[in-house]
Formats: sequence, C-alpha cells, structure tokens
Amino acid sequence: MNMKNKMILAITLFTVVNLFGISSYPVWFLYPSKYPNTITGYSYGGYSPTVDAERTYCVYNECVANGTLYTFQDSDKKNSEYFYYFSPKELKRIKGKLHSLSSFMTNVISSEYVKLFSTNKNINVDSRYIDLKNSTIPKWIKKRPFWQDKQFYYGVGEYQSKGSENDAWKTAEEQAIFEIMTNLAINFYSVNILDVTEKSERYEKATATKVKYKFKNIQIQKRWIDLNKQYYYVLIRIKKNNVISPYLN
Amino acid sequence: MKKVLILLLLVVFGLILLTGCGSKEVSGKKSPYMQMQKQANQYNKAGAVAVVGQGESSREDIARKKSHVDARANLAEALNVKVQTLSKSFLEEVGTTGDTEINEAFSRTTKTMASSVLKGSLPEDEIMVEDEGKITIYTLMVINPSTFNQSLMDEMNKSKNKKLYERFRSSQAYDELNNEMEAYEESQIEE
Repeated sequence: MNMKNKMILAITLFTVVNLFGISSYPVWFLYPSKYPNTITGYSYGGYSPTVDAERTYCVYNECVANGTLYTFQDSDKKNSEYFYYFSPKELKRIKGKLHSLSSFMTNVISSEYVKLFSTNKNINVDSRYIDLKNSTIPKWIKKRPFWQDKQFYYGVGEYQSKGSENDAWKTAEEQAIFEIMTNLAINFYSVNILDVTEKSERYEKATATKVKYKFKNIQIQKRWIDLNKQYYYVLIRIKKNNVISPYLN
Repeated sequence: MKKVLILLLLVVFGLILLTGCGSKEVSGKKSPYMQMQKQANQYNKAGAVAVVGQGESSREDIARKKSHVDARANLAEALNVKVQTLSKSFLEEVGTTGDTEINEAFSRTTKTMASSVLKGSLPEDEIMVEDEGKITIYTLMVINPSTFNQSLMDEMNKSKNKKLYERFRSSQAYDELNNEMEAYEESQIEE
C-alpha cells in the first residue's frame, strides 16, 4: 500500500471513530483532582475553549448562585431562572492569562474540542489516555447525588447526552453544583395553577426552587461516562467554609 | 252618521297599523363585535394572530383604552396557543424533541418575544357604538405572522448555541449580590 493510500485510510479510520464518538479520554480530563491549579474549557456554538475556560475560572474561583428553577409537574418542562454571577473585573483580570496545556477532540464533524488551561504554563501533564469501553461504574457515582465529610460537600451531576458531547459535560458539571445547593438548603414553593377558559379547564402543579449561595473554590474531582447509555457524570466538591447561604440557618 | 263612524273606525285602524309598523324592528344586521370577529377570522385564516377587544365607558378615550387592554389580554392568550404550535415545529426542525434545555431556552425566548410583540401591537380597526351616553368601542388587533414566526425562529437559533453561557453571568448584579452575602456573613459573625 503506498503512502497516499495509507494516509487516506488513516484519515478515514480517524473520522469514522470520531463519527461514532470517542471512548478514550486523557487522564487529566477524567481525574482533574490530580491537577488542582488547572481549568477545563469546552468549545461550543462557535465559542473557543479559551472563552469558556476564562468564564469558568471566574465562576469556580468565586461566584454567587441566585435565582429560581421552575418545574411543571405534568410535563418535563422546566424554566431555569437561576444563574451563577461572577465579577466582570475578575474576567478582565484573567483574560489572556490562561495557557493551553493539552487538548483533545470530542467531535471531528462539528470541530468540538476540550482544552486544559492554567495560569502556570510549566505544569507537566500526563499524556496517557484511558479507554472507558469496558470500565465499571466508579464508586463515587453510586453515592450520588450528594454526600459530605468533615471538610467538604460533594455533588454528582449527571446528564444524558442528546447531541453535543461538550454540552453534556458542561451540563453535568453545572448539575453537580446544583445538587450541592438543592441537597443542602433551598427555598421551595409549590403552586397549583388552574387555567380556565371558555373552552377548557386545565389544572397543573408547578414548583419553584429558589437558590442563593456564595461559593469559593469549586473543585472538579472526577469525570466518567457510561458509553452505552451516553450518561455523563461529574464529581464536584466544595469546602464547607466556602459555602455560604442564608438558607443554611 | 254611519258613514262618519266607518270613516272614524278606518282612521283608528290605520293609526294602529302605523304604530304597529313603527314599533316593529326588523333586525338583520350583525353586532359590531361579530363584524370585527369576522375580520379577525380572515386574518387568522391567513396565518396571523388577530383578536377583538371590547371596552365600555361614558368617555370615548377610556372606552378605547379599555378595548385595547382587552384586546391585548386576548392576544396574549392567542399567542400562547400560537407559540405552542411553533414550539412543536421548532423542536421537530432541530431534531431535539424532548430536550428540556431547548424547551427552557424556548420558553425564555418566547416570553421575551411575546412581551415585546404585545408592546408593539397596534389596533388595526375599530367600531364605536354610542347608546344613551354609553360608548362601546370594539378594536381589532393583529400581529403580522411572518415577522413573528421568522423573528422567533431567528432568536431561537441564536439562543440555542449560546445557552451554555447564559448560566454563567458576568454582570454588575454580582457586586450587589456579593455585598448582600458579605453583609449576611458579617451578621452571622456578630451573632
């Protein structure tokens, strides 16, 4: 087989593997706790991983989570009116200061990739990959969604992907923080809605979950994916004295 | 004498007939509301969202304002129905049926759009009826379907890709919230 054909075969194989999703992930991605002074950025919807990493850096450093999640009992619909607010000054400070240490692609077709960043460009990163094809469910997932020890609160976020892998990882990360909030303390309301018109009468129950938390130093510990069911899991921990909320008293 | 009596009877009979005719009202005309509603139905058939509002007062300006408010309330309800239909077609178009994150972004976008559309909605036609010092105004309000449909799809396509970043907000609201939390922390320390 000549060189040209070998190249075509290699590219085809590479593309086919990526079309059907990846099954191997870098050690730094699955075990971020081993690299505490780093941040992961995802490319999504045209934004570069650098933009995502800068914003996530600010949120995980210090943020205030505030707002309400509405869920409607009769359907799977929800209306998320809660956000993680971070300082614009902090964003300005960190812009352009993150160095790319490593990256990998999650989707060739849509050019989605994930990058590891740090303010310290001299960190040595393990370049090994771990194949999750035949891996068993880690113990930390069985403890989901929340637990605590003397020092930390732990939250496990999970999300079933319906398209973008980067979106799934990002959502699972956010859900892990949300689990910490909702399992600790929230303000909860239940509302019954009776909608009467000339033609019909509709009864529905809606719930409102209010959150108000200040977080410092959110730490991502581990990630894992159930390749068969396309379930994405992320473990996050936050030191107890870095969690402040008026709802905790 | 007999002739005079007959003549008198004829006059009386004639008067009765005239009065009877005068008191009868042959009504074949539609009410102003139904007239407006017929117009609205034509707009709705063409794909628009059209409703009729009604307002009553001794003053014309107040009657008009009331009819506009009534029309906008009806419009909001009609828009809700329209949005449900659009929601279904949007989800089918992007192939993400059942994705609740899409539904969230959709409901957020449609809420914003519906309120801005309602603000911009203007009366298309009006009928005023005055009866014994009471003024009733019927207003026809219409929303252009192509503008609404396309704007909504454009907004959704824009917001779909940005939904991740909506959750993290770099905002001046952070300072206010942070001050609140710091004040709370201090109060806890004092206790």
